[in-house]
Amino acid sequence: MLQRMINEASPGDVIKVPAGEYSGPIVVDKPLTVQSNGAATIRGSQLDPVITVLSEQVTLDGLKIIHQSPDKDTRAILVEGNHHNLNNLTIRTDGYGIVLRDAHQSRITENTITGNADRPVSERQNGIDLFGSHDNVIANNDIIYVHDGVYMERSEDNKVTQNHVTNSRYGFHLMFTEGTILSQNQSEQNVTGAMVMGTRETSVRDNQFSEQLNHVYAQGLLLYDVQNAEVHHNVINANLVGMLIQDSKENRIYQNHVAANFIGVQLLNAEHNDIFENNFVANVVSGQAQHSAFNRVQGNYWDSHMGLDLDGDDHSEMAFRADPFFYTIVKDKPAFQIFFQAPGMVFMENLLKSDTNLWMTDTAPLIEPVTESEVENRSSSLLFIGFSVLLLLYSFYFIYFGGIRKYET
Amino acid sequence: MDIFTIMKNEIKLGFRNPWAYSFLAIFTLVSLSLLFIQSGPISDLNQYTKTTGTFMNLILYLLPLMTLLLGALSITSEKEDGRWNLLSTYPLSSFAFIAGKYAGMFIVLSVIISFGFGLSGLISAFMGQGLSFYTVLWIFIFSILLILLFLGMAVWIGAVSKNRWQALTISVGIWFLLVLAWPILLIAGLSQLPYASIQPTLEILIFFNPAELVRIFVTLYMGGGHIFGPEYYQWIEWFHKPAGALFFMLVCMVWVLGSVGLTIWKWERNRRHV
Amino acid sequence: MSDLALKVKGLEKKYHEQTVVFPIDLELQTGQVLALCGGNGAGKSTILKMIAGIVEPTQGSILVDHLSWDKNRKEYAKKIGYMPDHFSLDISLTVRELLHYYARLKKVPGQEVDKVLEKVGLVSAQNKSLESLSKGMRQRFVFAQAMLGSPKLLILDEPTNGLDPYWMKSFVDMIRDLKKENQAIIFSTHHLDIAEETADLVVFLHEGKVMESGSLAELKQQYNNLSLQQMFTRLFFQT
Repeated sequence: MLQRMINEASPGDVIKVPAGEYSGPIVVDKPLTVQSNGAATIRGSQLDPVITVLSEQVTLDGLKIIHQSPDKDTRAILVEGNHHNLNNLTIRTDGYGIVLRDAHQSRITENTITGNADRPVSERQNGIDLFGSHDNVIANNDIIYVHDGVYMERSEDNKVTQNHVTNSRYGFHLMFTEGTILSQNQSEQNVTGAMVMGTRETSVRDNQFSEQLNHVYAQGLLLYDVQNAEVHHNVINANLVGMLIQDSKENRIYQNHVAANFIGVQLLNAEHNDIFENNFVANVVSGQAQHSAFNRVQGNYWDSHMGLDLDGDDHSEMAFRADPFFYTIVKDKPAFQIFFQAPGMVFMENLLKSDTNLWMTDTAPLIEPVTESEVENRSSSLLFIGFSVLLLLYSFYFIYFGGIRKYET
Repeated sequence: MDIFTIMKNEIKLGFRNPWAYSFLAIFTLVSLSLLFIQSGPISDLNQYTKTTGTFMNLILYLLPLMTLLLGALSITSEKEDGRWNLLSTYPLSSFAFIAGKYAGMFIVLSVIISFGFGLSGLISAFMGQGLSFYTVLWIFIFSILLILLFLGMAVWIGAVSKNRWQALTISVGIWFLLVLAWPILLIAGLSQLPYASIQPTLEILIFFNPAELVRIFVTLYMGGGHIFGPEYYQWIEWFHKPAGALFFMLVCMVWVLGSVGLTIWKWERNRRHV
Repeated sequence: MSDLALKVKGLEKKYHEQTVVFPIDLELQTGQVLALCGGNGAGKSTILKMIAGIVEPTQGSILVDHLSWDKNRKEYAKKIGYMPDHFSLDISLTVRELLHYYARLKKVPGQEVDKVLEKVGLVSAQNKSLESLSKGMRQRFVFAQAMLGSPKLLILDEPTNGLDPYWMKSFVDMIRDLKKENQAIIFSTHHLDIAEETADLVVFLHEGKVMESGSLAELKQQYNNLSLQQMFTRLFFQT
């Protein structure tokens, strides 16, 4: 019935889909606007996509799509061609959510894509999947229970912004892309926040990658075989590994806030990267480097560093070296992490300082964190003075009346 | 009333003792180092940072040893110097004697740390340091808990030691075991176990070491539970619930009452068997 | 009517099968002074400690003012005043402070402190630190402590140890004064002249056994008016 309406429409028509249930597969093969206020549900349970978008300038808006399939490699929506607009769709899928194949200059915005939570991650597919698709904007989508939230392969100059991905494998997965902008996205409780691989000229900025923990290889941001990426102003916290930079070179990583991760930043076979002005706060292991020479790690703030600024340039004259001792103990048996910062552990660490030349070293660490969040407030300061005075009175009372004053009559 | 008399005398002796003042000086120096620590808390709720962890470590090196030495030597010297021999001819119960000494020494030690925290707190407040009040409050609670638990152990050491030399040796030995050697011993020992049983064993053993018990729980309640890694998330979550907090307080109480109770029992048993 | 301050019957002490005190009987009326004489290891101190309630007897019974330790420890403790032989006073309290502490623990009123200070002649030294006291003054202090609350029985272990002749003399005077107040005293000593000057009853001990005992008058009669020193020499060094 819906297909008939589409078949009968002329290019440029607007089809307002009445409330109700429709069944796919539907094919839109001319420039049309198909819209609903959310009351139209299209169901599909075949191998073909529930909706296939072809030709140009197709707009899908406010539809609800339910895609049921025993086969994970099926698709809720397949998009080909240029200048499409997929907006405000609610998609529940057993396979892929929105798939773009050689689709360019399209906008995928404000959609909600929910995978099948009952299936293991490996039995799901990607929320938004791009292959050979360029110049698209993917924004404000909310994606949950899928394989990878947004997956892009061999695609160029796409902008991925303000999306939110959770409970999936990778939040954002870039493979051999060029010129991708990944900004202001949120990824939490996935295996990896953003997996960036084999890309050139990627910009990763203002994202938040949090709580990627529940996997042995969980990390906030992974750069693998990446060149010329700009990674900045991201908040990367409470992940197993904050940033893993592997086989990558000539990337600039700066002004990120890397906090409360097991390992703050890890370099593996990485060269000529520029890592500066980042905050590394409350990470179990601030940083780590293996087979990674010639990186410039300078002027970051490391909270575990007791620095000394003699010439007043806000940089410490004492280099910061990240000690891998604890890491080597805990990496195979994470249960021993309960000894993190245990006095005996710190004692051993200082006792067994191995060859410090191999450690990740910041030659001029910052004395103060980069972006200062002024937590100091006067009310707590008054409380503080009161508390201190109380403690002093308590001690003076007992020292004098309890101890010193002699009992005489 | 006897408890009160013994306690007051203990406080008086404590503050006429050069030991107390050297501990006071050392502890004040340590807490003044708080001033030179830049602590940039991640948020108002999360008081735990690596620098607070480092400061807690300093206290862990110092305070248990101080408490063990002061407590154990005070009890043993009562025996060695014959003062207990005399007091045991008095209408005085072992309970009142030990409990009174425990209470008195607790006050002496709490005064020592209060002075340190009070002085450095005041200086830091006037210097306008970015130190959060709640961080200091938590570290103060941390110190008080350490004193309470280790003092229980100290009186027990004092009761079983025959002389000062023995009390000193046992105190230092226990401090070394619980504070310094503990992680290494457990890592070496438990590595032989199948992996699945390592974590449960560790979780149980925490309750047998007051230093670890207090360190882990205060870290946890300061919002730093994540540093122990994902393996402990559920465990930590449970202890964040009211029931968990109650359980922690209960364990602390069992430690104090248990060690003091055991000491009283031992003291009473030895009373007429010199 | 006789007022029995102390009655010891069949009192015995063994440490790991080794007997240090063989069964002994003692009786002491109020106003009487009993001296336990003997060398080191004679068992004097152990007997006194058993009476003071510090050492548990292996056998036998002890009644102080008709009361036994096992029946009511606290009441028993109030009936005795004990002066230990080994007692360190190297603590930074004043004479008065420590005496007040002891008075409170004995549950006797604070005026008792002034009374005993007067008796032992430490009034002028009452605000001095204990550490600064001479040996003789320390002995007086410990003696004063024993007298707090005027207990029925004073148990003094080597009260004259390390005292110079001047203090010895004043100790003798103090004992005599106490006797006038009807005080019962049992003490151990190896200063036989002190025993001779103060005691009503004398017990010679050797290796835990009673070698000779009786009232001083009886013993004098029996030994042709020999001094205790001479008796001692005869008992232990002649056949």
